[in-house]
Amino acid sequence: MLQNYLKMAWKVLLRRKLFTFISLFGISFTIFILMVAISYLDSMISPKGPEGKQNRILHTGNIIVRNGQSMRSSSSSYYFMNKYALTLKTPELVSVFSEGRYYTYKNNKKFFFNYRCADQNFWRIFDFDFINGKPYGQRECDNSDRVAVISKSTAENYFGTTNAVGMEIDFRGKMFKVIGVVSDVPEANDHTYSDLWIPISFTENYSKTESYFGGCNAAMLAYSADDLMKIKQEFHKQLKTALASMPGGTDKSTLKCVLKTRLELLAKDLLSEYDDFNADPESTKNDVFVEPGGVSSTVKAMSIISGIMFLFMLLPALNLININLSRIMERSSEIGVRKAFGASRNALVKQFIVENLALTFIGGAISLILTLIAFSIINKSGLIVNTELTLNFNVFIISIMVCVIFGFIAGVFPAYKMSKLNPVESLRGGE
Amino acid sequence: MIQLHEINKVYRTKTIETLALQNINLSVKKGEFISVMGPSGSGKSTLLNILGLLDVPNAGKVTIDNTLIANKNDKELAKFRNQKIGFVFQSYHLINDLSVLDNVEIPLLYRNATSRERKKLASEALDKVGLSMRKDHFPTQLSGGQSQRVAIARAIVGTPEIILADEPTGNLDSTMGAEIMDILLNLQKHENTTIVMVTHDEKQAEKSERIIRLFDGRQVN
Repeated sequence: MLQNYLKMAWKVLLRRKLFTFISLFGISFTIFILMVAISYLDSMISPKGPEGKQNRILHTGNIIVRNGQSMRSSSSSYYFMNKYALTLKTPELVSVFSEGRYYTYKNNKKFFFNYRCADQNFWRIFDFDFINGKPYGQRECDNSDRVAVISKSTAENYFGTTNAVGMEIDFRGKMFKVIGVVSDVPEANDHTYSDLWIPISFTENYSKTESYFGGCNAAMLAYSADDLMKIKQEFHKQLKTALASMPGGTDKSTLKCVLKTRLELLAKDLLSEYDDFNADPESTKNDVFVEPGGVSSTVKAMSIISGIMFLFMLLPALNLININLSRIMERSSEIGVRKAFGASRNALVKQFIVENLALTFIGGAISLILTLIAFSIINKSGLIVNTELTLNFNVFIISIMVCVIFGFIAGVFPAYKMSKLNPVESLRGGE
Repeated sequence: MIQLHEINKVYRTKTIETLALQNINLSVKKGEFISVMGPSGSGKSTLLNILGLLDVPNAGKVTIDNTLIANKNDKELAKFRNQKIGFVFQSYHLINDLSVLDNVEIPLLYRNATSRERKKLASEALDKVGLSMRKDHFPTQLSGGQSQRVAIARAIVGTPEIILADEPTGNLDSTMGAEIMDILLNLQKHENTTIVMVTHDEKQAEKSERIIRLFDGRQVN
């Protein structure tokens, strides 16, 4: 039966080539765009590179201090992180780091580099791929040794070789000895991406005390994903201590710090959830906040993404419904014959849905080829730095699901209409 | 085999009501070959559609093979048609995209027949109408007579007890028409198939055992 349906689907496709082209173009283009978008989202949510343990890592965002009517939001100082984050007991590891950008010259050539000042735990939390050398440790951080880990591209561009261990690179007028070379980090790894990494002790205002604001962030690695909430709870307690001794704080001050997983942070960005938590005047009492688990906002963000994808699919699906409906009369004789010889409504609905799914899967196969071509172009162009869009298992499975949903949306209504045709009228119309 | 009791059929539009059949009573025995005659618009095709369960009367009872056809749902009607009735249409209604063999297989698709069984039965049916050598051709490659023979093969492939033929020779010349009539008569004689045929052709109608005449939706004999 299925073989017969597929044979019929193929014949119908060949019957009206223009209609078929329009349908296939709509389907394949839609699925192509969705596959690229899904792959990009996938590279954002689970990027290749050092941030592989993302389901166990919490990242701090800005700290927000409100004193009466004034509010300040910024990343925190090393002093704050050292006192309230590095002292946490619940996480397996905590790392503090800051980032920036500088330029330097070599042989009259100007180089722009992203840099990151990071502590020794940074190399243990995140999984860097060392091509040469090794990371620095606590001793180098404590002694402010001028050592650096650089990316493969940096080594190639600056030194002309990846074998750059032992060579020296300029960082703001001071020479740093390269002790390690790592594979390039895709830009989607926004907590680790850089061209050069040096000890945290070179971060601005490293030894400055008292101010809570600076350029640092922290990553906290939990023993297991189940511990994330415990870390948040412990950090909440730390914030209470921090608020009590906050410079310039009053009994009406509040202190908040974003502490989320990567997915929660993405959801927060997507939903444009700002850090203004003080809409409620009651909350201007002396209190602290750690942003609670982002489950609801993650679900909300995923729902919005799914909704957008559904709407994006709906337009070409409506077009296909329209084409299918207009082709019903063309097939009225066939429907009449099938009904006369024993096809029930259900059998006709099934046939028509199978035909649509077949059409959609052909569109899916075309879109797969288009997607692979697009990936190759995007990856070569460097449009998204160091990111390689790939068709992994997740993307493939989601794309198959998209095909099935598309086929159903476009097939069910016309199939229902077709199956309701009166056989006598159908046979008359087919004459 | 078939009993029609006080059948009425009315077609209604917003402005007009047409009485297509009026108080039709008909009994057809198993293995009987009857012809239905009458001028255009007399209700012949409507009668055939009601016999074939493709249309429902507004009043009256249809009984086929001692089964009262009333309140049967779509699925049951489809199964009944599939197992008991074969149709032959004036304009053949073959599906041009499918080969001759695939066309003949259609009734078997709605039974639990395997692909091999379907092919075997369809080949046998084509043998009976003398077209086995054309099984891989497409309908557009056949003459009118050949197309109608394929249509008959499709009608008999599931060995139905009843064949309803709506002007099966209407589009054919007299030689081809005679060939088709021979096939139908053979089916009645050798397979004991009940045949109800709508025709305008008096000569061919005379080959059947009984002629039912309709005029303005009424039975006139």
